[in-house]
Amino acid sequence: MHTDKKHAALADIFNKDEARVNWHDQTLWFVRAKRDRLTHDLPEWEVLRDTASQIKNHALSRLQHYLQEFEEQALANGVQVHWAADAEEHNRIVCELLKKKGIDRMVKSKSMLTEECHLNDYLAENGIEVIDSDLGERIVQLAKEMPSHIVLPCIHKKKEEIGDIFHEHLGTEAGVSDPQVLTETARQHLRDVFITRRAALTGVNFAVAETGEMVVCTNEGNADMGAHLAEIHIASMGIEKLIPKRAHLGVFLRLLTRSATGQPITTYSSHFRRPRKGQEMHVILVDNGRSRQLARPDFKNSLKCIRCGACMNTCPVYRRSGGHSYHHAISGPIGSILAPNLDMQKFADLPFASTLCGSCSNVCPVKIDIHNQLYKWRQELVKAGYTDKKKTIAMKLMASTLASPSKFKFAGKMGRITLKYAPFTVNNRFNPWYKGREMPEPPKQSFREWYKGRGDFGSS
Amino acid sequence: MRSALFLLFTFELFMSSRDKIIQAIKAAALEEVPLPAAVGNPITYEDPVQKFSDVAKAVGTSVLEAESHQAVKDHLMQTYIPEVQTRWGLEQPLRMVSTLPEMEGLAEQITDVALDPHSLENVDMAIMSAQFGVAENSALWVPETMIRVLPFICQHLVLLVDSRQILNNMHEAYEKMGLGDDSFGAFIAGPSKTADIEQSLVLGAHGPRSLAIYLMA
Repeated sequence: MHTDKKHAALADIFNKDEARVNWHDQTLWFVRAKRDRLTHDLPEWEVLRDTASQIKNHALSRLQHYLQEFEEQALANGVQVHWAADAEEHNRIVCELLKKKGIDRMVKSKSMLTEECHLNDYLAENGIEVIDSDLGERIVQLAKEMPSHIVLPCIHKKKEEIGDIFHEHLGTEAGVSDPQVLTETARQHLRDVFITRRAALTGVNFAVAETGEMVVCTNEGNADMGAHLAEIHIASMGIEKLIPKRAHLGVFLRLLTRSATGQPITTYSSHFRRPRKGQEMHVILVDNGRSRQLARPDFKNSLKCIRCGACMNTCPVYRRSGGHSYHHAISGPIGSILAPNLDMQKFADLPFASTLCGSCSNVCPVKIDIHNQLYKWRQELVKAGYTDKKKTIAMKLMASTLASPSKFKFAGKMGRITLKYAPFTVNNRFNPWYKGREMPEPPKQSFREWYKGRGDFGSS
Repeated sequence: MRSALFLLFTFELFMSSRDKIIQAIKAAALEEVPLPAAVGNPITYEDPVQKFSDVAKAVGTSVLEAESHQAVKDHLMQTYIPEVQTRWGLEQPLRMVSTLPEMEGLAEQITDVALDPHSLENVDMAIMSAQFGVAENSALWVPETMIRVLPFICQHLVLLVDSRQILNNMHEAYEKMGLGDDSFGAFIAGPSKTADIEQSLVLGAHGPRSLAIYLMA
């Protein structure tokens, strides 16, 4: 999504359709409630979160070691290992691997990393067609949009709109919007894609350093259909996906889907170790700003993220502003910490798209202190001069008013007079505070005035 | 000084991305923190087989019991296959394949690892075995058997598992497997599914439309 609009303006667009906002809000809250039910079933849930957090902390503290161990094991397994410093290099590597085999059509399963790298656009410019095979991703791809949620890519769409998209692109009858029928149509369409594509790209949920394995989780089975039929399988992963030991998968697979959708586990948790006979398997280890984030003591914790989306489902701002308002591949609270690392100027608005209520930190399966990091980003961004100067001036003015009794007294009086005699000067669209709020009834007197005159009211 | 800088510059220029990434991580100089202890006392169940079967049914899996391979074969022929045919309106005889020699006579035997996986495109039902199951989430460990794509590409999947091999939780699963040596393996928990359209659950996304598990006594 290429837009110069900021979060508040994009949220305004989403908010125009109130019924849709309410539906979006309630649906995500329903997913959050499912998550709660599942987690309450496990007495050791908090121990699991703690353990996962510590495993990730440890892995990040020895990341170079585990990357090298993973590389060694993967190579021994017959998997080819590539390193990409940034998005551009990642895209180039994929493109070259395909060109070398004369392939111009690829099937892809869900990978937020490739969204972050804008791989599809890059390959299209190089004459390579990519078809996304996750149903939600296929829908947004046909609609020429970005996923609005990392786990539920088209949660912002109603089934009637999806019906229209399928009618236009996949030839379903006009007006059909039954999810069962639409899913069946996509199944037939994508089966043909799986059967005919020679190359498949998948994301990676977890990579195990000690065995060189890559674990990919899906409910649909699309990663497996793509990878096991293609002659070349490319797995793209951020360097933070490494976990030290195979036994750690037990911890993370228990947490991931319970947190994400309130299921005990995804339908498929596929462990790729060696290519099948006659197949090429590649893994691309992508940095793209991750080592920079690792060096920021306040934000390195964000790299523990396992992309479950629980922070989005619970966020009061996300639920009511929609994923597209974050104008980044990874939206919601976690995206708002990751995005400014990639481009402080472009994403300076995102850490402010939060009430700092802390619900995100409470549900995070790896205990990232998301709301604290949002608060810290705000401070960094103001210091670096990327925020609205008007707001900074207003804040300074307020601070000096609150610090001086005489200024405070004067300002209070002015406020009461304005609200009483000239409310139209503040009750209008030029006052940003008025938007979505009624201005208060002015009190007859201030606390100070009341306190001074309290003797008149019979205090003995 | 100048030449040193120049050298440094050329070094940077020729440094591979691998080295650049490793260098950048080293430069972050994080203090090493220890690994935590394993999760103590994870959940166990009084009757893991019962729990396994409850969770499996909740995600749309059929759970059946059988004494022997012959009993599975009989049940498939007499009951399960006709049920599938009725439920999905399949009139033609099904293309049945299996990696289990015991299913000979009922299903085509897959014995050639070099078989083109695309040739399985029209398989209606595949019958395979799982190594073990996990009670907490009804996942079954299915290692690569002959053809990697088989449990995914078939329209309907049947998995046999020894009921003495139902573990409590995922920690026990990885403990049992250790480092393992399967080139590929997957935990499979139910038929393939999606809820991407308005959160409405639909079974049969890209993989099997149904899963039946025979718990072997």
